[in-house]
Amino acid sequence: MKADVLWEMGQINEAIELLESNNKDGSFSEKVVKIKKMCKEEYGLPNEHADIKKIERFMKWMREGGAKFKNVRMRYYGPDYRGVHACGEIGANEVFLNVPKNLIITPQSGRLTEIGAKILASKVKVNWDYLVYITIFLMVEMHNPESAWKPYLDVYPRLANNFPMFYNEYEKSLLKGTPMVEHMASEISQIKEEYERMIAAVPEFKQFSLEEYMRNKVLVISRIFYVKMHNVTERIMVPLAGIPIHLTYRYV
Amino acid sequence: MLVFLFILPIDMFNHHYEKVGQTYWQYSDKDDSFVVKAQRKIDLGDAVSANVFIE
Repeated sequence: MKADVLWEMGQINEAIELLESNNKDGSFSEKVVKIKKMCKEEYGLPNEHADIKKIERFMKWMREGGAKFKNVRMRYYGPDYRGVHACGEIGANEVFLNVPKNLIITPQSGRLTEIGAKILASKVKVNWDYLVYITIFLMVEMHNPESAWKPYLDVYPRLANNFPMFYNEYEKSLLKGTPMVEHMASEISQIKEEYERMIAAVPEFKQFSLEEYMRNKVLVISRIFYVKMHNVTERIMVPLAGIPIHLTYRYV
Repeated sequence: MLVFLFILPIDMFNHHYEKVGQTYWQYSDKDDSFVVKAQRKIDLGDAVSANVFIE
């Protein structure tokens, strides 16, 4: 049945709309209720929720970009907090996710942006250049309303307040007496100095705020993969695969 | 040290799953794509954690 295929593909609302449009005699009512219930159970949200629609668009974008995934679904845990779960059995050693190069963000993606190229040409000193260029790529795309990466950016975290750099005063007070206070101050100061150096070298970099730069840089750090690509060690961001990169709990 | 700063747990008990299926991941030069595979069988409903890198 076409609705089942749409459901399996993660096109939940398309499956429901199809069933409803063919439900004049009420024969699909039970199926509609079942899909809505499964959506709530498997995705953690009702099908009409705006975040479900974002997940649907993202998974469709991944598939259209050539990604292959089997028996995995993104699950909503809370605002800016998602996971990936098995929606069927995955065998030992089975490849269940395959993301092609065109959907992968590399430092080169950032160097090839207009502003990234200027930063590179300026030879300004940056810390961990691969992080800087991936961060630049993401920020450039976030500022572009026509970005081809929009479906990914729509499910990308917007907040970083669970990172120590962005702790509120109460959370910071809990760290008093630990070396973390000094370390955090030092890291914040380093990023701030780096940001100021980049603005001095390339004034257009001001289009990104310091807070935006810091927040995106720490989000990139927490999601980056180290891989060997054609015998070269590379750091990359991989949509969908980047969500379950962490261990069991939300460490970051 | 920076990495250590970023992994300080703040929300350790706020988890939404009971079991986690561990995976391997690598870049496949042959397919020019990033691949993730299960280390062992992952059951329906398990969270998937991509935390092992194989060269």
